[in-house]
Formats: sequence, C-alpha cells, structure tokens
Amino acid sequence: MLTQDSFAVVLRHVKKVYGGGCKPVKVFDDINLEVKRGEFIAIIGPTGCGKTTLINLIAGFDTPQAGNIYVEGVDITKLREKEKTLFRAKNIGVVFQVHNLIPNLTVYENVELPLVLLGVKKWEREKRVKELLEHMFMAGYIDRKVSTLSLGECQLVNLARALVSDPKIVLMDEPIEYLDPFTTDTLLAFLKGEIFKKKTVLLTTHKRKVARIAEKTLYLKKRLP
Amino acid sequence: MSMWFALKDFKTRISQVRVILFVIAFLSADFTFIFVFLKGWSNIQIFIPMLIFVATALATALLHLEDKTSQGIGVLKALGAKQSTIVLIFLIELTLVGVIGVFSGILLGLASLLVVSSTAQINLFEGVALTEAFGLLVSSCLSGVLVGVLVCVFSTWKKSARMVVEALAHTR
Repeated sequence: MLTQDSFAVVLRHVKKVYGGGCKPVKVFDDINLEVKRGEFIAIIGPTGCGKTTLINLIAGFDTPQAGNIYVEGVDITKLREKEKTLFRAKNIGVVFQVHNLIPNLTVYENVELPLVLLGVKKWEREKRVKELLEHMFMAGYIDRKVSTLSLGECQLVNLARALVSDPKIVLMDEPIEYLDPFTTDTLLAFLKGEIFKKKTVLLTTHKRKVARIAEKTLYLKKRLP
Repeated sequence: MSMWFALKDFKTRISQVRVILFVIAFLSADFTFIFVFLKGWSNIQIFIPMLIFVATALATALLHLEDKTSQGIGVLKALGAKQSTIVLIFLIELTLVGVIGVFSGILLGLASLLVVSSTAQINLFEGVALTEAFGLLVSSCLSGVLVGVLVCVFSTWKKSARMVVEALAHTR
C-alpha cells in the first residue's frame, strides 16, 4: 500500500480562489492530486484553467485558501515563509514561463545563483555549474551576458538554473511556449535525457506534442464562470 | 552571499546607475559650492533648509534607483533568497552608490570653487576652518544618503515580504 511518504507531491482538498469582493474567481475547488517519486507528469489544459496556479501552489509561491499540499512528505501550507524559502531552495527547481534571468549577470553567474543562496562552497559551485553547462552543450556561453542571448538560449539557461542544485522535484511552467521549433526539439530531447531520469517532473503545457514526452498526462478543465 | 551578489550586480549595473550616480554627485557638488560660498557653517538659517533640501533630494534619487532595481526581488525570492538577504543586497548597493556619489560630488564642488576662486581672483576659502567645514559638509551629505538608504531599506523590506507570486508579478 502506498503511504503519503511514497509520493513526491500530494494535494488534498485544495481550494484556490483569486480576489475577494463580489466577483471572486474560483480556480480550484477541492482538487486532489498524487504524484509518485520519479514520475514525469504533463499537465495540459486551455489558457486560464489553472496550470500556472497549480505550479505556484506546489512550489509554495502561493497559498491555498483550504487544503494541504505535501511536497516530499512535508506539508508546505504549514511552513512559515522563511522555512518555505529554504525548503524550496533545497528540494524544488522551477523553470518559469518567462525565463526571469537576471540580465546584469552572466550565464555562469545566473546558473550559480541558487548554489550561492544555498551556501555551497565556491569550488563545488564552479564544478557543478561547469559540468551542467557542458552537459547542456552551453559551455561556450559561460561568460556571455544574459541580455545578449536569444529567447531559446535564455530558456536553456533557465532550465540549467533550475537543475543546478540537483532538486528532487522540477516544476516547469510552459517552458516551451515562446520557443521556435528547433529550440523546442533541443529542449524536449534534453527533457528525455539522463538527468531527468530520477527526478519528479511536473510540466504544464497546452501543446500535445510536448505532453507526449511525459509518462502521464493530466487534463485540467477550465471552470465555467 | 549578499556581498557577492551586491558587488557583482553593482559592477555590471554601473552603466544603468550612472544617471543616479551623476544626480547624487551633482547635488552634493551644488551643496558644497553653496555651503562654502554662503559660509553655511556660521549661518544656521541657511544651513538647515539646505540640509533638508539635499537630504530629500538624495533620498528621492536613491528611492528612484531602488524602485528600478527592485524588480528582481521576485526572482531572488523564488530561487530561495531570504528576506534579510534581499534587504542586505539593496543596503550594500545603495550605500555604495550614495557614498561614491557624495564623495565625488564634494570633490567636484571643491574643484569648481577653486576654479571660480582663481578665475575671479577672490579667495572663497577665506576664513574657512577647513577641517570643521569639510567635516560638516561630509556629514551633511552622508546624513542625506543615510535617510535615503533607510527609506529604501524599508521599501525593499516591504516588497520582499510579499508572496513570491506577487513579487514575480511585479517583475514582469
């Protein structure tokens, strides 16, 4: 029998409503979800169905009005902001839809940042960042300023930044939406690669081609107002 | 960590902050010039309004800089930066900008006083107790920077207390 600890992510009776007043927008009402460790799940659905909200809730970026969210056995809805920040830094890597890289820093420094925040020693940071960038065929980009990169290259750096701290869970919020077909194929090939084998991955998309690389696909329906 | 990020960010952002740096230097240079020219140290009725004006202007310049640079707070929070780390990053960066701006401004002001003195052949430094006047000048400008930095730190503290999702929305 599977216990709560067998799952990487568990959502129990989660309710999320945006805005108060006379017209609140109910995104989730009593949603339940169980994701086993090492699973690769694609969440597919139309715009506005709550894909990004789901990622935000699991990452601890947002809080639900009701229900519990267990990540690696820890109920993150019970954690204080400071504890949640530390927990996220150690366990969760997030790939944003808009890459959100820091334009003044180089590729190397952007990828290094999560390790600096975790207090990893300089020599180890250097080793991990260089290894990862080499693995992603981006060794030649190390000293490039992020502001000089194309959107596709930025998204690869975004992915590298999410993976560098070796998180158990990787959350990807529509990572391929703005990319051209060639860069999309590169990214998809990478997602099927060795580095993702042992990780729990949740990827949101509204493209079926992208969802096909996952082991399971969840469909989110848009709530009618 | 805060120092690592603040110095890297400051070094690479220098082209963006140079306008604010110039504004701070210009204000400090003006203050220096008028302060020495009107012998502000011996005339409190001139000195106090000038000090209030300069402090407000320096604080406004720094607040403008903080507002422009605080867009990255959401990303830092999402990557696992603590609220105290974020505040410290801004504290270091803004202090650096403020102090560099003020000192270059004072030097610029003194240089322009020397140029005016030699051109117009008037000794503007006559009767100036240099150590006392310079000390008052530096402490006045730095108190302006201090006010600015404190206001900015409070603003950053409030912004970094937001939920990550709200902070990220301000990034876009």
